[in-house]
Amino acid sequence: MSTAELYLCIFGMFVVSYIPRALPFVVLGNRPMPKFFERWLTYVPTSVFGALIFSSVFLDSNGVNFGLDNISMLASVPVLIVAAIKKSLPYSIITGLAAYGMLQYLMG
Amino acid sequence: MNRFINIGMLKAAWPICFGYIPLGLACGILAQKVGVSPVELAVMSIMVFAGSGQFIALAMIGSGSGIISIVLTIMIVNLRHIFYGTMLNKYIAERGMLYKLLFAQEIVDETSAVNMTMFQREDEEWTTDQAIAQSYTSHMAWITATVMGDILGEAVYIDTALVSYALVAMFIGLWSFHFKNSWLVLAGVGSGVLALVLSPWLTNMLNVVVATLVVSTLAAAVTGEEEKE
Repeated sequence: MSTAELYLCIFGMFVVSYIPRALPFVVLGNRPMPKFFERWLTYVPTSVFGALIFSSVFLDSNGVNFGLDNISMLASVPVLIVAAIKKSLPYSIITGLAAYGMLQYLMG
Repeated sequence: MNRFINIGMLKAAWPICFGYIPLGLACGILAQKVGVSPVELAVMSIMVFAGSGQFIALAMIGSGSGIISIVLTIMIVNLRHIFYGTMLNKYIAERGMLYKLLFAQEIVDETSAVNMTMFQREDEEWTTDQAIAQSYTSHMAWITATVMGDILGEAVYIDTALVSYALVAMFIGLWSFHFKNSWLVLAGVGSGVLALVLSPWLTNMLNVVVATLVVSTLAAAVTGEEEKE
């Protein structure tokens, strides 16, 4: 890819990435929303982050992996526990990194 | 310290920056490998700003894919960002269009998850100024780290699996803060399971988009029925 082509590619990626980012603000604006939409919105964050987390924890290059060799899956158990008890982001991250690193080392 | 840059904002931004620095370095190392220069990568990190999107784009550039297929893939990968503007809109609805258009450029999984959690907190105030400052701070960390990675290249060793997990752990923490009733837990887990079920057919994060749409609509319909009774 030449430099010009690369910049064209980056510009293309910018356009297609920016549209879904800005569209909701432009379309929804500052008007009252229907009741169903409001209720739908309360479930969007938990759903989208649930889907993202499950995808990064359970999916590897071969597909879904519930096996005991799945380090992300094993490390997520202490993270969930610490997150639930401590309600703290720093503790969750440190627990996750420590658990992941330890499991990586143990499973060589 | 001002209304943008203050202790509260930095406290919210640091976990993202902490995750972005090693991940950005890894992204920069990949860029150097596929022949994208630091300046080119800086432009990409400023304009596109997408963790997984940029990894995929760089891998595609490296394998000689065409511009159209790269742009279309990135469009699909970043489609999920539409949910973030939708859920954050009510918190910034009072702000002017310029703010909204600048805020929109900074919408990624991490900045949105943190802003959403902070806006919903009752014990601490979170202003729209802090929200945009947090997003730009995180973006700055991403730009810096990716460019540094591209300059240093193989001189630094990054365990990508381990460092990506820092952000996963952050998401698990933020996600659990949303678990205020059993419907919210059920929707979150249900959407996660559905995303896995759909994953063989829907690639490039489309499984996340479809699972979110299906589960949040179902949850809203079911809980709406309950309210009527």
